[in-house]
Amino acid sequence: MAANTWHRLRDDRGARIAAGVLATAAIAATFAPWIAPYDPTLQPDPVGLRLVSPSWQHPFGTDPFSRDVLSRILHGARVSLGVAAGAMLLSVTLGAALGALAAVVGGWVDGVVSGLVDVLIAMPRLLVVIALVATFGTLSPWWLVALIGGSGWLTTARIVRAEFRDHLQREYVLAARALGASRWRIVWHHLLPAVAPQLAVAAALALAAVIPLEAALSFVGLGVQPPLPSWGNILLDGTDYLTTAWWLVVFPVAAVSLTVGSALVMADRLRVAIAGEERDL
Amino acid sequence: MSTLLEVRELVVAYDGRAGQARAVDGASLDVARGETLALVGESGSGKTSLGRAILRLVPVASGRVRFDGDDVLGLTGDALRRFRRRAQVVFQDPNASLDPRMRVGDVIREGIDIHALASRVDANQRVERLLVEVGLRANDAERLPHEFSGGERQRIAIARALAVEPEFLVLDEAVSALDVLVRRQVLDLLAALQAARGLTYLFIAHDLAVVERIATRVAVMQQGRIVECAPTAALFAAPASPAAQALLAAIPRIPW
Amino acid sequence: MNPALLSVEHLQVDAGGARGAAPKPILRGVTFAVQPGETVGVLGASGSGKTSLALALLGLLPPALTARGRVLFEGHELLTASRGARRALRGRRLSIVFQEPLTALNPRMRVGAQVAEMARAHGERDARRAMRGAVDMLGRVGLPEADVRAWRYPHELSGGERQRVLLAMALLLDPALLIADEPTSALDVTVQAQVLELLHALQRERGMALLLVSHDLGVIATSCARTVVLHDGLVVEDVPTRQLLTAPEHPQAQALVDAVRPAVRSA
Repeated sequence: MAANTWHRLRDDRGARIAAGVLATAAIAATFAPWIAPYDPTLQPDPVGLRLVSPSWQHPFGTDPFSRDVLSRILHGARVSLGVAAGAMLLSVTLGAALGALAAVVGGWVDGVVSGLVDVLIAMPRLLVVIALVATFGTLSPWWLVALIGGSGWLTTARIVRAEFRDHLQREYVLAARALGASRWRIVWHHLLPAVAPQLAVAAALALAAVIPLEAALSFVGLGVQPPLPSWGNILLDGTDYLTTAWWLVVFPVAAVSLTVGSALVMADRLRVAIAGEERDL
Repeated sequence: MSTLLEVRELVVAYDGRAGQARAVDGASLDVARGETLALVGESGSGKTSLGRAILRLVPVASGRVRFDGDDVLGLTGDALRRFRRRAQVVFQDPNASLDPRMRVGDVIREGIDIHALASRVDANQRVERLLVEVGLRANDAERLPHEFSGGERQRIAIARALAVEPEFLVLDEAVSALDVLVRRQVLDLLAALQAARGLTYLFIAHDLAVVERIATRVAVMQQGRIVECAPTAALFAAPASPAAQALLAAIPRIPW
Repeated sequence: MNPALLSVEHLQVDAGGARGAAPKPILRGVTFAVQPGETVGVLGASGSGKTSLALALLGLLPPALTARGRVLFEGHELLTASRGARRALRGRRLSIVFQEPLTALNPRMRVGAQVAEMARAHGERDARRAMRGAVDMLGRVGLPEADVRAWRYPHELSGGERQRVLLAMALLLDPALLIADEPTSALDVTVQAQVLELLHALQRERGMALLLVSHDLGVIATSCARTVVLHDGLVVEDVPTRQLLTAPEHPQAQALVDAVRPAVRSA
């Protein structure tokens, strides 16, 4: 990204706050085993410590199995954010690659990719993923990454294809061809840097889309399986106690909302910063 | 003088399909080594398409192009790449022909990198020498295109073309978008470079007045064909074709 | 002495200082006048401030630019005039034609309607009469088959035809002064010659004053009796065009004259 966009972002209050939230979540997720006060799967006293409301010893309370909720949220962050990040990277990379291929090679390849996008985009992603997961039964988080990520490449592909096609018409690409640049060189040195800002926005939006997707899957029991905690299944564990043990609902929901909201704010601020850069150029 | 470029009955279709309307409809011309052939015509006459076809930048429907004896249209792979070193181009729009995200030094160095003409260190030195040669400063290599004026950007584009040490340069309306003073400076630069490096120019323009200073011969194009070709003085003194006459009549008659 | 049609006195235009940076001067005290029916060229290289001059006269400067000084048109002070007053003058007494016709025209509106809109904005209530006047004007500016082309959209016309549409809009209400800012730079050279000839003819026919802004003395010398040379935000010469051609004084003026001198060809 050009220096100007970076400066613009750095000075942007909204971007700084959003980045801060996401960074905190990432750090919490990475260092969960060291930060978490308790073992998230340990059930020390299923009778005595059951459903304790938030206190000094258990800041987020305990769940129906006497497990410390804070520790579960932290470890859940590892899983939820890990799956989300993985799925996001997969969908953005896959989308960019297919969009680039369609734009640069053109012809029947473009026809196939565009056709696929046009057909698949009409299908609601959540239902597709649920159907796929249900077919395969319970899956490891890696498979979740693959399925969620593999279903999300459509918008990115469209964006990258459109941007590439636009830039391919421009005179500086013609100049590169006149210099003898190979197609690969043009893609790598000219087109990708041109589309990188939009990819950053797409990545932020993708993240905002997959975090709730994984949480929803886990909530209905199709995603991450216990005892591995995820924000979705923490919420699942608490469904029978929604009215009595509010901490079982509030904290997972807050975790999801804060991260998704921050990702969306990031996407928006990126877009504004990019628009400012375009003006300068 | 030997002939460097030979074009015979070249046909270029709009959007590349046969049987469509033709941008270039059977054009033929020769360019001698060391000369400046101006190719003039109104917009729509096909002159830009002809220039690009010669450089293999647009598909050719039929015809022949010979560069230093080699058949250009049949080149592929390494041979095509070698041709691209020998025949370069400077485009019209200084705003569009440079990648806005690349530093000027990288823009100029791209050709050197593509053809592996020098090591990293040597390449950067070459870039700095080129910048100075076109009238800019060595440390301009660190800046971005939008920090320069239109005339300066054209100088950068010229430096980029020269980086691969071509023999032949297509100047596609290279000064048309510049204001008169800058235009004069860039034309002077082009003349100096031609003398210093022994370059051959195909100078595409729509304005005969621009051409008068630097062209040895003028080819007039209309509706995809070359309708007249004559030494500059002769064309200005006695234009034979209606197209040439119209272009000459269009030059503002200043009451000196 | 007859009062000048347009009198510009010590016009200064600055690019506003953003975030505490010092404001950049674009025009540093420009003074000149245009008499009724006179043809005046403003000659300047890019960066001389000539486009800002044209915009300032019509109150069309972008918000980042501020103007000071006096601009008197037919006795009205333009710089301090209210927006309503300026809008009433624009198009009716004082018109402008720009360089790039495509951006000056509404891409979604047929060109005839855009010309008619000019009349209606200034009080013509009868839509049909406005349209007829528009088609008539398009014919007079030399748009071929005006009654057919009036129904086309801007992108369906060539550059020269679009420029004629702009001229029709500018001249419809018979202004006393037409400001043309690089009206032919974006055009093919043969079309450029036609448009300049048209400007000249219309100017003579209506006794309209013309202020022609350009970097090309060739464009100015064929249409303007007097030339004001602008350099670095100031007027450096203000002389009859003939005099400029034979004896330019300021080095910048000299350079601009040399730039259009025909080449001396060796036999």
